[in-house]
Amino acid sequence: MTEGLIGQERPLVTISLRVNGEPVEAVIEPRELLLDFLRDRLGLMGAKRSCDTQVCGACTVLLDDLPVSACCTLAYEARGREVLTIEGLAQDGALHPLQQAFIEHTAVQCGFCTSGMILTARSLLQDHPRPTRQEIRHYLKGNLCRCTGYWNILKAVESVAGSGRQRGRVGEEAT
Amino acid sequence: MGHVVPRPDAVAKVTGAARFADDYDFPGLLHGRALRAGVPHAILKRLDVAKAKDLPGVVAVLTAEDIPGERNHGLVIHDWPALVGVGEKVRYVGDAVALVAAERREIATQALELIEAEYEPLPVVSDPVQARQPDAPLVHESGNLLKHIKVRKGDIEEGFAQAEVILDEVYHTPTMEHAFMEPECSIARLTAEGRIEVYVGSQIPYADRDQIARCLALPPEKVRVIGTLIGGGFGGKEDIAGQIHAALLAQATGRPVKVLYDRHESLLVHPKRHATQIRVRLGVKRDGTLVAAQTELYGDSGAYASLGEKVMTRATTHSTGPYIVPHVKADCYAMYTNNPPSGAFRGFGVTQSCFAVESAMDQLAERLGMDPVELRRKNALRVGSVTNTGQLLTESVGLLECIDRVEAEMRRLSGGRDPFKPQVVPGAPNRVRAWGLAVAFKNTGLGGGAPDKASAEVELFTDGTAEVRTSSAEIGQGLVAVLQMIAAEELSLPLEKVRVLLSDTDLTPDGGPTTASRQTYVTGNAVRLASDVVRQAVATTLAEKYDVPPEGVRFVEGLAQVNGHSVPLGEAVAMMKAEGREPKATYEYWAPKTQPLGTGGDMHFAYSFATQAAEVEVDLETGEVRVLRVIAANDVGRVINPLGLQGQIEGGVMMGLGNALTEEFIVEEGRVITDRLARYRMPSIVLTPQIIPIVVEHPTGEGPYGAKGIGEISSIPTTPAITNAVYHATGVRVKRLPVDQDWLAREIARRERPQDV
Amino acid sequence: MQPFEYHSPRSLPEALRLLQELGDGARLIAGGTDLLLRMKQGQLAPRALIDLRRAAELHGISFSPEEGLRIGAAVTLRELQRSPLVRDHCPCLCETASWMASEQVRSLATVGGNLCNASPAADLAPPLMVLDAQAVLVGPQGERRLPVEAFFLGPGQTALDRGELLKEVLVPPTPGNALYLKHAPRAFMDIAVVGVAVHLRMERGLARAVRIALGAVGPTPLRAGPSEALLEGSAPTASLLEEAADLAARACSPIDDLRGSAWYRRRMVRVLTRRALDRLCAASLVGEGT
Repeated sequence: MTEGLIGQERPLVTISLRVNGEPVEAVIEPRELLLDFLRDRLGLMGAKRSCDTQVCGACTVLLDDLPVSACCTLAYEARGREVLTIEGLAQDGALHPLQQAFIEHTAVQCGFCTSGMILTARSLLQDHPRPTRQEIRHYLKGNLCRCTGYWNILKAVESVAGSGRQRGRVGEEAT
Repeated sequence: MGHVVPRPDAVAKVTGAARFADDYDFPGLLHGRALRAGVPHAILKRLDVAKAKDLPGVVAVLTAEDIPGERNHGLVIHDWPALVGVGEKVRYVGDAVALVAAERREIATQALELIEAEYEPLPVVSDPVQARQPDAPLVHESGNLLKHIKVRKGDIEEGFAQAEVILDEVYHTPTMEHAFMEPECSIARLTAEGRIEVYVGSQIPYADRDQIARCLALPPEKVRVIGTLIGGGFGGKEDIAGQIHAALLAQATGRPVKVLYDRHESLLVHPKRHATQIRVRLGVKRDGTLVAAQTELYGDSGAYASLGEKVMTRATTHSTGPYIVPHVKADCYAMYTNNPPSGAFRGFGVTQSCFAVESAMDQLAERLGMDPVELRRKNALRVGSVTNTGQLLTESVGLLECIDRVEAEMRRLSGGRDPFKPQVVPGAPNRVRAWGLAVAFKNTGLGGGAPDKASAEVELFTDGTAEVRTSSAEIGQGLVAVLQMIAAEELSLPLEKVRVLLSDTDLTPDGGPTTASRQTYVTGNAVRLASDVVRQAVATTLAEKYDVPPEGVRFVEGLAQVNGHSVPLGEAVAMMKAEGREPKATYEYWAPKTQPLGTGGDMHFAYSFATQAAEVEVDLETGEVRVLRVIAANDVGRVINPLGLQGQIEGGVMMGLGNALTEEFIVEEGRVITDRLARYRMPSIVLTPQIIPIVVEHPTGEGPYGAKGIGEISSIPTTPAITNAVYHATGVRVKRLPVDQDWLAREIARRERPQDV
Repeated sequence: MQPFEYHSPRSLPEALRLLQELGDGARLIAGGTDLLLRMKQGQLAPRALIDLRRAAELHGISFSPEEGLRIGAAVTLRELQRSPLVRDHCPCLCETASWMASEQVRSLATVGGNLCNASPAADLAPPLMVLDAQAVLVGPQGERRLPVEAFFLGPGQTALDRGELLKEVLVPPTPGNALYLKHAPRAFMDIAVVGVAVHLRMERGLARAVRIALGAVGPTPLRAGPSEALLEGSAPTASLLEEAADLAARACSPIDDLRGSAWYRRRMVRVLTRRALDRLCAASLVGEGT
């Protein structure tokens, strides 16, 4: 399928949104994907290009707190909304409890799935502060990891879910 | 050693700060793409790039004639064209015929569509057995046989004459995809000095450098390969992917060029795990003593050699299992076909042959009416045994301990019931559970007479820190932590004072390929010995200053203690510098010499051993198989980094689970059906079983602190442990992977009600 | 992806007007999880997209005792899964949504999108069919209602006329129980190899309002009429349920493909139908006693 030529009139739209708490305004083509917008325009490289077809979760970001695959979401869809990428998770230099837990449980090997995995887990814990192991598995099944075998990821998420630090955190976020 | 230490790269990876190749940007960056043939076997008759060149935004279009140097690349045999020229042959769908560099990626994509290519199709060679037929079309002019690999021990006729029971079976394993999360990406740029720099996440940076240099007709020192972080490798990032293409385009345009594969291209192009057909014939005495083993393997090496010969050699030498067998004959035919090339993949051929021989051993045990664990124990390699390649094992054979400990744990978890008898799940008559067990061994290091060496440089600084440099690759396995721990141990430094710099052909000496589970052993030793040399140099300096013998200097936690004085290491380094001494050392470590196959003697300098038991639950109506628990014992010589080891075991088991139950890279008549990740069924977190690791330490004398490899052995016995468990649960013997639930349901139904099937 | 214009109508009339004006070159988009994938892969290249998500009329879930549940076409699968109203009145739909795709996809994908793609394996189709749901279509000529099963004409084909769109789905109140069982090649995000939905209620030991629908085993989701007829008004016994499951397996026309053979699909229809019937009969019998 060929595309229009360079220089041909293309529709442009202006969007304003918040990314990691900061207001962002940009003029884009409606077809621009959220992943390209974040990586190429904003230089936020935490969301990764991997499957290109929303089955692996490596490009997961939170759109109004819900996980979406940025590779198959239009940037335009994010207009007027709040996008959280992995770069925005730590606050005031302090790692989020999930980030800390992923380090402590060696839930990280090559690291390519890590951003998406942590963001999806963050959404889960907002939803269910104390998920069962089954709920964790179910919620994270769209985030593939080829290195760890997932066991340490399960343990990392469980450790945050079971501790007071996460509940405090969610409370803070709600205000 | 042996302490729990978090990964040094973990903070960057959980915050998004970690930079992989695609995360780099340069001013003026162009985007390069390759046009893939899309036909499996053909002559390229015509190629017209004029329209692509005219497209605004296109900066360069290159074809084979534009390659200044050698046309072909390859890790062993240079048979893989960087670009196929007009009049030349396309040998698989992923062959590249033209390159485009453009201002934007979408323009490059559009330009590819404007290139006109015409092909004259040729008959396709689609599997290795067909490839060996006398009338098969030729993939390469030299013939379809890449290598006939032979293992001979004793007298096979004599062996089978002694046998009282003979088992003869054939097994099949499919092509497999690494499915590393990060698709391949290379960025090349010219420097002001006229050199070429290539940023890439590669498992073998020095081999990249040499292959790039040859194609560009440059001396190797004009090329610098800078390793970025690697989003998973598993053997799939050993061959050239976009490195040469990016360099050619950068050379042609004078601008930086990024060649990023999308997942479709990645699936199509890079080498896979060999599909195999393996026949196993075992001869045994009634008491279970193996007397003869004969195997015949066909390996689908695909269109180009890659590491096919090496992989299939490993498959062959391991094809009779980690057993004492007096009479062995193994023949392997590594064949060229028109499928995507096959190369290195965690397990390196042993994954396939282990499935075959461990299935056969279970079948044999049943034939003999013997406990399958007992049959293995009786024949297991031990110190003093001679392998099928004639190697006398003199140390570090922990197989029996692995078997004993896994068996004990399995029996404990089975609560006194026979673990190999099906147990109906209470309240669910359609679900049954059973255990299965398998053993494995896997060489550490290249072996077979290949020089196996690694160089490392260690430098101390006046701030009391140290830097380790080597070009080995961190592919997620945790090498940085291991090298950091070794240097810290040798230099008596706190961990955080040791930095590790990897994979830059200008700054780091050659650590050799990141393959064959060799990095901890070979590069680990290089780092250990380089650290030792530096420490001795510091000791010598202080010894002279305080007039004591060098052995009178002690190193403790960043301090040198001499004559009652405590000198901070940084201060000692300053003293050395003041005296004009270099506080650094490079050590080129040569692993113990090995012998080529067929010459007897030590084919490998160390082997890791493992035993795994898997508990499965099978739904007899749907054919679904769930793996509930896996007990995994690995003899790794000595544990250096417990967390890293645990990660290698859990990840390895999960990969073995995918190999057993879900994964298959489907190619039909040379055309790739699995051209999207959604079509490759890699396991998600839903399928993760409970993994019970057991560490067995039988140190190997020359390994760093006794350590040997773990990266591959952890994954190898999982598959047959699962398929043996499926047999014990259902009575259906798996001879072809993966265990398709459709097939399994049908086989179960056939046994119950043949009229239904 | 080719360039396209993007329209975000604020209301249903505006959306319909745009659909009329832009004609065949335009595609409706809601969650976009399927459409954008096809556009990225070059299978579709619309000149314009009409985004339905900002039209308030297409949102929301409500319940009335007369009409039952009203589910807007732009309701996401995540909203459906978590809706207290749906959980109270049609828990089967929450359950179904939870088995669909991944969390990432469910955040965006919509009820309307799942139905309008008209995949033979669309997960929402069989349960809506056995719940006797109606699709509300709206176009230049106004609204019309169709039973959900009449909405599917073939793979990718629906009863929507040019200029029409799916506004909502109505699920009438039901005293019975429904269940959807899905079988996929792995416990991952796969498309169903087979999906079976069953609805029934037990009255004085007899099965009533028996409805069975099958997904992924024919060009459209389909009803297993002979099984329903066999069970309707009967006192279910093990052998009768088995026979009904067998009839369901015979009622479908599955194909061989990469996800499963025709033999296997037929077998899974039998297994899942039997399991769903077992569970519903058991649940209803328990319910009756209380």
